[in-house]
Amino acid sequence: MFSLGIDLLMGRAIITRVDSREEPEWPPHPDRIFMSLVSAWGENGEDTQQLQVLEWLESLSAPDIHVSDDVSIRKSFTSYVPVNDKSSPVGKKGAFGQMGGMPLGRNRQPRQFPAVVPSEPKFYLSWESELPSSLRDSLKGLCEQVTYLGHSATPIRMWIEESPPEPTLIPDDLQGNLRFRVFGCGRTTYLKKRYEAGLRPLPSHWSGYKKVSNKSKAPIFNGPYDPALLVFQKVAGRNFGLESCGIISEAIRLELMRRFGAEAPEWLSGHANDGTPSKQSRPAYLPLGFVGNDHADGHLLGIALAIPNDFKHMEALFSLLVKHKDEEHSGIPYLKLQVKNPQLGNRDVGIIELQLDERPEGRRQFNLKSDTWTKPARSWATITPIMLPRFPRRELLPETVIVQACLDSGYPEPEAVRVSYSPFVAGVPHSRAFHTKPADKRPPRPLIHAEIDFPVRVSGPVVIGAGRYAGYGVCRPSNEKESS
Amino acid sequence: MTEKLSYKKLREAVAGSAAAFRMKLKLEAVSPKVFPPTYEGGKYATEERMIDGQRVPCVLLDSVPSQANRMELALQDAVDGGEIKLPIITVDFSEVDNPGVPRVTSLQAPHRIADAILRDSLLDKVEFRKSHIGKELDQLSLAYATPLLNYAPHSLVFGMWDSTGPRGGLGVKFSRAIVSEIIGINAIEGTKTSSRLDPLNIRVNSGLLYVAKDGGWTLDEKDAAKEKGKPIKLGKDGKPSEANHGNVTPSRSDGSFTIAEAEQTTVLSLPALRRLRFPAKPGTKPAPESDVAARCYLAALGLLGATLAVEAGYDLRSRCILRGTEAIVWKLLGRPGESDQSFELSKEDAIKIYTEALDAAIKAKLPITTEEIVLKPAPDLVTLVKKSMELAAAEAGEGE
Repeated sequence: MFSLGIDLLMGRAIITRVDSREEPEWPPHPDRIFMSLVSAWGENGEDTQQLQVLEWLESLSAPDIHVSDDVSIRKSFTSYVPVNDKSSPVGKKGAFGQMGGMPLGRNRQPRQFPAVVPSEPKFYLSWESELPSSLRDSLKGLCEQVTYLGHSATPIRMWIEESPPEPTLIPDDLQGNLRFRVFGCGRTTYLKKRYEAGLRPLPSHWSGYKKVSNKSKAPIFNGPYDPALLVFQKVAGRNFGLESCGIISEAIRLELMRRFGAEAPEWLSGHANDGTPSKQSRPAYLPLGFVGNDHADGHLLGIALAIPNDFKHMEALFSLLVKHKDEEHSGIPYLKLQVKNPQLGNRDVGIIELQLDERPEGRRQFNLKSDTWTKPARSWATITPIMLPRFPRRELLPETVIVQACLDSGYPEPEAVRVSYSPFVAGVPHSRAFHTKPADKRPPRPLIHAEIDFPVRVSGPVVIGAGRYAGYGVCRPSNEKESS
Repeated sequence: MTEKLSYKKLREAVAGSAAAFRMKLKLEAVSPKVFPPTYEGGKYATEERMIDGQRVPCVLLDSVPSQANRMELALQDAVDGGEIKLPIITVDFSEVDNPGVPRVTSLQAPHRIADAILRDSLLDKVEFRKSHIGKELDQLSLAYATPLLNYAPHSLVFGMWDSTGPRGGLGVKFSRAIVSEIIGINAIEGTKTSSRLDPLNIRVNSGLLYVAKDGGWTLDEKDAAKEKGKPIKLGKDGKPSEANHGNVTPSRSDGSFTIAEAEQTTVLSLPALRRLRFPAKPGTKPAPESDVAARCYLAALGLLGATLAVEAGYDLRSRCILRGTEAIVWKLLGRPGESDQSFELSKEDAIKIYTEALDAAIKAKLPITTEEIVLKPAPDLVTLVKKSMELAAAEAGEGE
């Protein structure tokens, strides 16, 4: 790649827009930089080697731009410049006032000189292409001959830059919301012809540009789960709240095991052969509720199946999901669950029907979009409380337990953890609203909400703690606000 | 100890590939408040600059064209004082017989040698643009800048557009090689008051004034000039203030700024000078050495103009006085990343380098006419100037 650097020697730019001489143009469009190169070529004898450089530059695509967008616009003012068509110191309304050092007056006409003061006077154009070594010296010489950019009151220096800073604006004809004049093949010839005819040049090529988001530059930690979630939307049945995540994930587990038949494997049952919890990587069932909004009430919109990156049974899982006899949903992953509540003697508490959401992401509710749960972020807040793998006591704070739980669940060590029984996100139920499955001989593990700050951006889904396969400890980026 | 600039160093810079000489000079305001130029609507050209990582409010105190004018006037003073020789064309207005307008020179005229005043004047009874000088000027181009070097080299430094020559609006353009601005730093807007206390304490209702028949004003209707049978009131409504009597109520208006300091930034573009060629005749090839000598002379002229203007002190406009607080240092800007060379330049050294550069240019056989060329204004122009003098005197005095 190669790059051209430009330095505004006065620390500010007096450059006007092509369509309005009263408005400043910022950033300077690439065509303007090209025109200053052509001008330098034309004014210094039209060297043939330099013409080759210009024609090579014309062949390149629109450049990336690094430019400060932190600018101050000099407050616009109109100054009056003396005319030169008449020498008369007298006008229709009487004598013109004296000007500066001249003892005679002169008619003056209004002109604007809009100026922009960027926080950084240097900016850069960069291209992926390599600069041919045969053209390097000529381009260097041409750069050294450039005088000004825009108005003659904007002197610049230009050079070939070996290590330009990262671009802040990149060409994007499809999604770019900015449009800059650029240059293409034949531009030099066009400019020369217009100059010789005494005409101003018109813009010829345009390119869409968009800002490069700063965020995309920081490193991202990829969590243990594939960000491509299998999102199942609730399509029928009664309303359940987030606090039912445990009993619903249990219903899913049982249904899939039933569909499998006898001898369900560990990745489905969650148990090893000896009855202890499985250590194999297996899918987690994440409840997706209506949260993060003034109107949010935490009711369940669906369930997402989060598949671990090293999961080996995807085909089998998928065939289980479509293995049902419901004609309406034939061939589509679908679950009709009879949900039971063990706290109520395992009574049926309702039916919920879930179907794979095949709508384009843009058509879904905010909380059913995969991106909502997987977008890289540094801070995450719980939607379902974390089930602490160890019991906190005086020397072992819940925050410390959660730090270890993050590591054990496959995430980086957090910078900070804040805990609360009350939720951090609107619409999320209080920790006490969640019921855990009572184990035979042990007290139920504590549930607590948390807000976790990681040292780097982490790509979701983020689900932490002892009950993560059952949907406890599901987190969402904590700066996100859903628009109502 | 910063190195002093010498002719040799200047010539090396001009002959090389450095981009510019740049001066950033700190100035302090002699009075606590400064009054920047106002533009239409009384607006000030304010902006924010990043200084040491902070956004600082600033205001433009002197614009690019205004700075150029000051440099030209400083050069004019140096010529008048016999300190330097410089090609100048003067239009002699002694015929107007007014001490306020003795002459207008190519340094003072707004469009320099291309100005309408020179165009409307005569050299040895020939219209200036039809004279031998005018004909040479008609052939000007970047590749043949010799006539300007000869008769008005400052036009090559400060810029010129021959917009009323034979090619009209398509006339030759020489963009400026020197750009300068003064900014007030940490500029906080204040208020100014304007008022007048009448020593005679004439009240506004003391009387109704009329235009007198034989000039001046009168309180007596009988002595008043009449229009359609009615006595004409003095001014708008016959108040004593129309005759400059009475008090003016103090008014408060935004007008001043308090600044921490001011900074002048001046850039002399070397590529702008390197574009110029000076063959003996149009279409012929110039000797490379003479081109360098000519460009060096122009660079010395630009540096001299800037130095003289700073040394003269800035009395920008009433109640806006700035003065330099440190030595003038110019940085020679090469490629970013390579260390810039710094040079100190005093007034004495600037004159010395200029004189050396002038001698070197003449030695290189470049035509430079240092004797003053005098034009006489055409009769129509004389009439207009006389009329403007009368009108200016007849107008009622204006307040600030």
